[in-house]
Amino acid sequence: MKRALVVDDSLVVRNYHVSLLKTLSLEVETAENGAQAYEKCLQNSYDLILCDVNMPVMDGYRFTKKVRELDNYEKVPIILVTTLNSEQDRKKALLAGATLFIVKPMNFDILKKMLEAVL
Amino acid sequence: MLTQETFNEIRKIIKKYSGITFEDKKKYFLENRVSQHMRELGLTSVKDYLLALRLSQERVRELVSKCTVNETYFYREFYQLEAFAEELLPEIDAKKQKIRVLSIPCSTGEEPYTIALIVNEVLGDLKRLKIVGVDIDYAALRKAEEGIYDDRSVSKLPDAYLLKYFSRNGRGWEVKPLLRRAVHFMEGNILDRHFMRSLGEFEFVFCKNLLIYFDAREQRVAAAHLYDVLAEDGYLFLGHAESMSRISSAFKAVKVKEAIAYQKEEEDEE
Amino acid sequence: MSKRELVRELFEGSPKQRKFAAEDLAEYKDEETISALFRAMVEDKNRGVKEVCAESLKRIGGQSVIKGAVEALKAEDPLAKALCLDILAHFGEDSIAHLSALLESADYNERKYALDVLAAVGGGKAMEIILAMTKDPNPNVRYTATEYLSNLPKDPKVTQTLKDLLQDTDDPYGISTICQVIRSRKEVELLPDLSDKVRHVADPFIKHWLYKAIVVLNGVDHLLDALRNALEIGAVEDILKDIILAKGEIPSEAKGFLQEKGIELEEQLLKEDL
Repeated sequence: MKRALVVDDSLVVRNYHVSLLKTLSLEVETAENGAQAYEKCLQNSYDLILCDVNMPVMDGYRFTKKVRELDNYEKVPIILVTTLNSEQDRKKALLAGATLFIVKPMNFDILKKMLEAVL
Repeated sequence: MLTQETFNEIRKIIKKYSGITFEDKKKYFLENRVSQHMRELGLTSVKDYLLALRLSQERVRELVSKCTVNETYFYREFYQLEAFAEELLPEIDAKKQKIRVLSIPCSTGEEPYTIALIVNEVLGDLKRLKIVGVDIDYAALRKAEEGIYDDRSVSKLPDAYLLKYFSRNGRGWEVKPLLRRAVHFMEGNILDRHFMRSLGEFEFVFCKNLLIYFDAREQRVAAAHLYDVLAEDGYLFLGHAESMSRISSAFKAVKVKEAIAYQKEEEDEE
Repeated sequence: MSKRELVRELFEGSPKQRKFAAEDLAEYKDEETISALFRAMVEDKNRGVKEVCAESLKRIGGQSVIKGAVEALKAEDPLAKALCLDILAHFGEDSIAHLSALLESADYNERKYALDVLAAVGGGKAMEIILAMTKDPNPNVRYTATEYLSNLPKDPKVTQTLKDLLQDTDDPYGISTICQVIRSRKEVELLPDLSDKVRHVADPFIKHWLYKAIVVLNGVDHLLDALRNALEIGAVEDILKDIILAKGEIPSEAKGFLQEKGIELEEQLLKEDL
């Protein structure tokens, strides 16, 4: 069974994403911020990471940059969830190493299609 | 036995002295310690006891000593020691002249002595090693200085080490002078910045299961002090279930064998 | 060291010296010190130094620090921003008066920052503002405000707001947010509204969230409907956990249904997960 990691500082948002990913038959783990997520990535492997951008301690961009440097995470799909829809943020996300980025509040169907595409 | 008001009063005093926060659900635990202390002091009224606490730091110190949990033994959390022994120690050994280790809280000394033992096994001698053990519990520190342990404490140690580093006497297993000499014990509080600054820097810091006793604010202060005492390329170990990820972004997590250790985060580039 | 020397160390020393300077400057409470600490908090490249600046500013306190934190929120650096929010939250209700510029900002991110502070502060004043922001034109701000309703005390205004939101919202993310808040606040009064909504909604994923709230609020009639719906989207385990949360165990009618559908479950494992 494929395993996903959901990273967001909001419990409500985490629950939502977990629920969504479970309907796609994934096993899901969560983290509250980039630092916690990074530690989890050190210990485990994931097939997909869905990560918010604005979080305390370590944000999504920084997390993505760091996790890409780990041996087994070069190609893992990382979807960054941003609140801004600007060219600048798109660039920032991709420069950090994200596979895709999606703007919240996200369209449910688009998100689902995106997830199905990368898994 | 204690009214909510008295409980609050006492835990405020404890927090002021040591930074430790007592949750409501630990009331029963605290009551036990307080009754014990009152018996020892020959006091029968809680009001007199409170007065004693307010008048004398020494009494507070005694109470705190009774409240700190000293469940510890040699070779605890082996996977961390493994990472330390097999990867980090050799790495630091190659780079540095002195190897300084801080164990805080050191409790009754098992952790610092264990580390001394490992260093001796890995490097062959303790000439370049300096270990400092710090705790706020002076009774535990006295025991640590004595270096005599019961069967349970040493139960996880391989027999060969037990025979090599301990001598058995009427009171239990006594740490041999070789290890004893390598460790220096001090009474102090991780939240006290002047004290922490006075310690200098260490290549290795072990701070296991201490941060969980603090609230968010104290955790940040403690983390800032741990940052101060950690050498530039030094390694910090926390307890198994603990993480810096909620506390401070000044550290970066690194994986070492099966364990996670922390180093100082590099400065941000623009 | 004198204050002047400390300020110099703060900008020119080694990381360790800068950090110690930042710590020691907490003893001074004048404008110059506050200004210096904010500057270091925003500009220094060392995270340890930045964090300590924030702690010192908290210790210094006062209006200047609060104003300074609102101002410094404009910084690009995410850590500096986070530290500003932390400082503002630390000062509780005193910060609220200074948030008006942020609350009225055209930039929705700034409105969101204000919300974050209000949520951390709590209390009556904060509540009024958070309730109002559930009607903010920007959906991100609205959803964040809705989420923050979770932490407010029991109040008919909050219940009414949730009622209105439930009625007006139709997207999965919004519904999920509202339902989670209703659940965590145990807004039993809204049970009829939830039941009503679930009848009018087609999407099983949205229904699932509504049922999750209904079940935990003890809507007995809906147990089997909830299970049936959950089965459709592969979320049986999830709804079972809610059922156990509400009832302490899986009731026999539910067990019957599951057996009928050939679903085996480890009740004990589910209980442990909770």
